[in-house]
Amino acid sequence: MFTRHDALKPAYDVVIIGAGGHGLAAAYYLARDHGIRNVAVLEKGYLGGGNTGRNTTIIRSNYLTPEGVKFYDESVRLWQDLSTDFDLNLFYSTRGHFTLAHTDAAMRTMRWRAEVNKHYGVRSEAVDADFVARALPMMDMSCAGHAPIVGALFHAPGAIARHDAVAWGYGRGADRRGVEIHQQTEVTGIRVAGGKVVGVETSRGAIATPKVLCAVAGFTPRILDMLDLHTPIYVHPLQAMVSEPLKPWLDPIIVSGSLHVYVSQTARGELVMGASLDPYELHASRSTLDFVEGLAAHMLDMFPFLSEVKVNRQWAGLADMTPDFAPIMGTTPVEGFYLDAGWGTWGFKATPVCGKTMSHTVATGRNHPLIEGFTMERFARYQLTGEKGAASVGH
Amino acid sequence: MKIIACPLNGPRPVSEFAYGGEVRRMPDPDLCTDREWSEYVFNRSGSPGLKYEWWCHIASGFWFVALRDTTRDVVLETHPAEAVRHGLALRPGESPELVAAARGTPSAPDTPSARDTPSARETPS
Repeated sequence: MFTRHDALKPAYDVVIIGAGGHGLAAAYYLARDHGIRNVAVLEKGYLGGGNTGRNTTIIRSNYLTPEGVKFYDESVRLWQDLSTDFDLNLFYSTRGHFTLAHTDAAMRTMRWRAEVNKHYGVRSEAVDADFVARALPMMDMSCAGHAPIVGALFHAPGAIARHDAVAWGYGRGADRRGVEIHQQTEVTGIRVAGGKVVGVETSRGAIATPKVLCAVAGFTPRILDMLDLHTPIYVHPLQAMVSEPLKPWLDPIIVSGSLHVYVSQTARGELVMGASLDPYELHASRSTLDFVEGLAAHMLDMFPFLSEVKVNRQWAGLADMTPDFAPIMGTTPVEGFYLDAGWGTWGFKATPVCGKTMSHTVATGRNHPLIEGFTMERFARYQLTGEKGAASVGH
Repeated sequence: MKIIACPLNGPRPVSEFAYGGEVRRMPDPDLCTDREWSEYVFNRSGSPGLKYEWWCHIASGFWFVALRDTTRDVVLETHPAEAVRHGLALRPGESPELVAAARGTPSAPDTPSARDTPSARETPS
């Protein structure tokens, strides 16, 4: 599926660190839209082996801030024809997305999000408990009596997709256009001269390049340390799990902020379930029993008939969190070094639009208009892009 | 990590504790620049390593400092919050005063004022 390159070239026009969805999408659009094909994508592990292959595959644009809504709406639009574009079936499946509200305060946030969404042309609406009960007759509307559902934010475009295929599609598309993907190649240093990027040191030798894009999620702080760049990024693990396959019974995607659950059913019948972040910093993708117990208990509050269903697998990824739950993207104080980071628990859905906007930013040296609310400088200006109210669950 | 040795309560399961973030020095808000203040308010040492961190035993409301390896998730040392008053490290190894103080040796010569230490701000007195 991919060309295997035995050696690194001595120089590239652009080096992308991280062969996950975001890095490969940027490489794809650099080659396809900007004609920049002398590009190396360096990956210390294997293609799509990080958070691209560890998320719960939910795609939505029902965010809270105007910056977020416009950005994610563009992403949802880009998702629509990706399978055709790649000639690879991403199993993109529009399901509808319910964010359940169990309190009046939560309902207020749902109305707020619905109004912002509608203002920007995104199909979201606040719905009452009867609407939820009709759409989800299998759900215990009282949630075991302790968290009765009072309404929801319903977002019709909510979708899921096969996450591995996204990395494969972008990777193959970039590969066919001349981009080199080097797996098992770790970046060990970034060379800077006169405030500008001049090269990258790797476990397989040094290469010269005037432009580096860093798209490494939970490993971002380690790369930034090489340049002495400071950001608010902090890393906590985020865990997820899947059940054994069941007959199709759950069409929409269900999220409950109060119960810390998001769940959807895949094309092969497994329930993919996630919850909130692990409660403390850790740079290891280990799994815990605490997580399974907590998430399973809350799943049973909503769907008590699942009590005999087995959990097949669990895993974790490293989430690069930010204080305002918005990403950190674009140019940096080091000329030629571009950042696509701070993707925390919300990065998969943004893969296409990140590729589009970061390829533009790298090609032109100027931030794409859609990412101006996400710059690294916003913290020094005390101008945060407060997106926490649209996080899938209360972290 | 499943067990943390609380300086007050002894070894207890990790689920009884709340994480309070890394031990950090607060610049004087009256004297520092806006950029120094934003650096303090927002920026973090996101890379893995040995870090002094605030932890709280929830049931007893007891705050203390743990030296933890954030790659292996192993707590190497725990100390009562008072240890921080003897000196404050941004990173373990960078400030011998805290390491010395944390091990119970006499306090460093230029002990910061109580106002500068998170122990005065973040822990119940």
